[in-house]
Amino acid sequence: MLSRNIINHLLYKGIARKLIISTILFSSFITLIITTTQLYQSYKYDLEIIDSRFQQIKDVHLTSVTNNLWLADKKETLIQLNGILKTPDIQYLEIKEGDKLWVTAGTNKEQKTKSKTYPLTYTYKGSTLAIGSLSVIASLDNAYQHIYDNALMVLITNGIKTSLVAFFIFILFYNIISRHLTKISDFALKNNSLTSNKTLSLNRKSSHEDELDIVVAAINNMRLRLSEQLDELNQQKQYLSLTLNSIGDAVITTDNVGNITSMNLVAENLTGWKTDEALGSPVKKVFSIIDASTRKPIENPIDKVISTGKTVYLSNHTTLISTDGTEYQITDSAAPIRDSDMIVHGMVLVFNDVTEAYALRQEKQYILENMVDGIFTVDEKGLILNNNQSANILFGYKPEDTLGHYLNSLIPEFNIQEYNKSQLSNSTSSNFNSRKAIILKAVRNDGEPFPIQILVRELPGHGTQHKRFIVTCHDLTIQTQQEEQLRRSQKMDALGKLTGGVAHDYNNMLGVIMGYAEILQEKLEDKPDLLAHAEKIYLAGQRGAQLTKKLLSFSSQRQFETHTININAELKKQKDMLTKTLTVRIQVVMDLDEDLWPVELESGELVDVILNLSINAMHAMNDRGTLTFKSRNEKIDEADINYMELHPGEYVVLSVSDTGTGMDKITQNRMFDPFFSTKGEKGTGLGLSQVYGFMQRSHGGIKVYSEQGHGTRIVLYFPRVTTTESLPTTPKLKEEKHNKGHESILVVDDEPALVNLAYDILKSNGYHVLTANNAEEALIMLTTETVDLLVSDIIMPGMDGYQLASQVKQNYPQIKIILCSGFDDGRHADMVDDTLKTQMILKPYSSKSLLKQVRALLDSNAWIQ
Amino acid sequence: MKFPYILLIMLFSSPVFAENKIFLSHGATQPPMHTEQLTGFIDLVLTKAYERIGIELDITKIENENALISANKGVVDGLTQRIEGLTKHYPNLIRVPEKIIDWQFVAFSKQDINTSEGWNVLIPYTTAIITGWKIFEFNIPEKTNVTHVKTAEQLFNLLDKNRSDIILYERWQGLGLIKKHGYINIKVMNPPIAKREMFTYLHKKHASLVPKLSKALKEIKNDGTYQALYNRILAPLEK
Repeated sequence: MLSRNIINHLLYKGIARKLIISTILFSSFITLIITTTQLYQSYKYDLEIIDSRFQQIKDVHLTSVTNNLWLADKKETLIQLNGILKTPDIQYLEIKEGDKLWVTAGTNKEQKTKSKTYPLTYTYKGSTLAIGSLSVIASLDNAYQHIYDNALMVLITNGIKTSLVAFFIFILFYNIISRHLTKISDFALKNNSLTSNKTLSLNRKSSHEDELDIVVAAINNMRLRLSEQLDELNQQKQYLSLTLNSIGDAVITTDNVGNITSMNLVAENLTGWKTDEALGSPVKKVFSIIDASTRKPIENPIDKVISTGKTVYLSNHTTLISTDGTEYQITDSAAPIRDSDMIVHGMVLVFNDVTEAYALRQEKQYILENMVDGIFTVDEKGLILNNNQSANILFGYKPEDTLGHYLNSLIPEFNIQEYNKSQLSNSTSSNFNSRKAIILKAVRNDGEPFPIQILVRELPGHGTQHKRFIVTCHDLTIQTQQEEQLRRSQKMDALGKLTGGVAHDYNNMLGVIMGYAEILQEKLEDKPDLLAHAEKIYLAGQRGAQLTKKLLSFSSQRQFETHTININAELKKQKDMLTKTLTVRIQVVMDLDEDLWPVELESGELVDVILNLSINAMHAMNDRGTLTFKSRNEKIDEADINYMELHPGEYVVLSVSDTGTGMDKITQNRMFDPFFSTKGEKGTGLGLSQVYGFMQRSHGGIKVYSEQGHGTRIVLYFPRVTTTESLPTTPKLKEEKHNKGHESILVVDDEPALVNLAYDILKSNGYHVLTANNAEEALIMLTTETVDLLVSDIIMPGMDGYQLASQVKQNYPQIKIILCSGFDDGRHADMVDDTLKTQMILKPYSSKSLLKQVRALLDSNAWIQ
Repeated sequence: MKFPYILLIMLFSSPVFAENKIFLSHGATQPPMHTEQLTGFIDLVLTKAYERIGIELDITKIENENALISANKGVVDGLTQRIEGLTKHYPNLIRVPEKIIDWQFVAFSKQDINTSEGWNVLIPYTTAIITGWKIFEFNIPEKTNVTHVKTAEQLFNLLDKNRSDIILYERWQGLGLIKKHGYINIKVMNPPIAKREMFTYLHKKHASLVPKLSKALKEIKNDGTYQALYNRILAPLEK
């Protein structure tokens, strides 16, 4: 048992093994030193022996050798030298007579040798003569061999000695110390839990009260104290854990190389790591963060904290990526954990989830940046500290151009200091938030002035010494333009209604005059003098009708027939007419796009418009001039429509330019007003009004560019038609021969004169005519009477013609309908289809046109759809 | 060091009493007295003499005392030339009465030294002799600074390198060495310090040859052979 323990100690136990190894090494080292010394001494001794042999040779043989040399007795000398050679180690001798080699004996190996040379002197006649020298060379082979032999022996001897000493020391150490240390260490290993109640005791025969006893007692006491402290520590740890887990923020602590030592629940939730899994791992592995905007990894704060020992705050755009890929926006800080000596032992990382707040902040920032209005942050002197993108766009600057400038360089009329004083003097509080917007003039980067509305509010949280203000700038340019357009549109609309109403009434009267004039013309065929008067009456009525036609054109209330046409073709058709009309002093130039898109217009009206514009241009060019027509296709987008009453889309653009006198702004603002003319009493003032009305009806737009002294350009925008289908044409009127008939026709009009006229015209041509003065009466009549055709005015009090037509269609689908009117305000127009609209008779109508329309409809298969 | 070789010769040689061939030894005698090809003066004199008595002669070199011992023991048949009086110490040797030659023991030096006063003239000088040359060892005064060498080359080398004032050596051999090595400035000092007659010796087992050889020697001296040899070999050395 003892020997087994000893062997175990020898092989496996740390201290004993170290001791024995150290002893062996040290002993070996000493042995080596001693052996080396011994061998050296032995070598030295051998060398001394060789020296002694040299001396012996000198003492014994030198004289005789000298004599032999003196006597030149080589033979004897050789005998003598050979005799000397027998001396151990002596391998070679040579005698020189003077410098000449006289005799040698032995072999000179020249390696591992030691030599001695003796001068040979002979006393002759009282003088000592140097007659030669004797060189003796001894081999050191034996000396070295002695060393080798001794070394081996000494090493073996010392090895045995060392081993014995080491073993003895080991045994001693084992008995006195090692086995007790083993017991102590075994106890420590088996009872490493401080909760164990076992105590350590060594089985020693007597109490020595030595160091081992002290150690045993100390260990037992220490275990007891440690156990108590461990309990206390566990309680503190639990409390700390509870505290950490109660914190709303995530907390991660690390050691001084960045490995995690603890985490709280919030940290677990955010990182996705359990504390057990994360303990000991590098914090970079668990706390994976990237920049929210660049998506690139952010340097982990651990390195900076530990290297600098300072608290590190990460940027506001830090995204934490959990193990399941969930991303959290966080704010965090990392601080060193120091002891009382300020030594850094680790790091504490505190972070919290601000995903919602971040999203909100991002949203606010996005809103701010994408607001249409420009926003500046300025100080109390008006120095621009910050702005949003819209502010730069609004004023036409790059972002960096406005920062650091003063606001009044952009808005010269606004001085925030004076404004601040004036507001404060009117306010009871030390700060104010102005709710009153101010309309001022601002200046863009290119120097263009534009209207602007600003709202000033003070930013809280900056005290009274360093105030900050938010200045919101709203561009009023478009609004101003739109207001102007609206004002003009309303004006034109009012004028249109006025002229439309006048024209309508006038048309009715003309209708009566012309209708009865026609009847008179028929009845007075045999009375030429009276017939002439009737013709004059009719012609006057026609002239009046032309005038009302123009008025109605302006008011856009006249009905028209549209077709898909090519403007270039119409222009080319009219070129000759224009050239003649405009005289030779005006050069007509046409620059037309060959691939012009088709448009939906009434060609007759287009010709009138072209004529009106051309005549106006001619009047503006007093001397010679050039009138240029240009056509092109153009796409209008959102950005272009602000100054035109157009929808985004594709347009055919026709511009008419002259080199005339141009117009001032006042004239430009009134040029489309009916009855406005710069030609005095010469003009009716209705030409450009007609153009305006035409463009409105065509769903187009019109733009005027004019410079006084240079000329005017009027640009017309016509919507492109995408189908080449024409609107259904009106039925062809049959020949006049077929205008009579026998069908039953109901005439409805609130104007009795017109009812009577229509009755007379139709009755005289064989029709059975019924009349009503309003739509309700007509409907009552239809319940009892059979009617083939309904002829109704549109504008009537109560139910209008459209409503009547709709009810007739619904209740009496077999009845054909003609609507007629000279004034249409568009109400209820959507109640009937376009076919009916195209079949309208325009007032004032002639009897022929009425009879044609009636007969054509009665004869056709066109039904109300 | 040729002793083993000599023994080998002895084992395979014919008995002495065949006497067809005689082996004599000389000491460290140098040319012109002895050569390895046996063309030295003494080689030729003895060869001629032995030819006269019908015996082939072979001469070998045995240095110093060994030559005397070997000859005394009969290992070799005799000695080529030695001074008189050896039989006292080496009783087995018999001197041939007719001398071979007179050896002159002279001083060689680079200096001019008058040696007419005999051995005492050496006292003030450093002298070198070959070890074992009794004539010098016995006669040089004790006060003389003497250096002993082993070979004649050493002797003359010493003198050549001025390591000795005088060297004592046999005249003809010395002159031979002088010529051989081209020593300059080394001269023979006259008169000789000592002279000795040199006799050849035979082992007593060849006693019967002694008178024959002696007679033969006389004959070659008388018939001019000896002189001719002298003139051819020794005389040119004096020039």
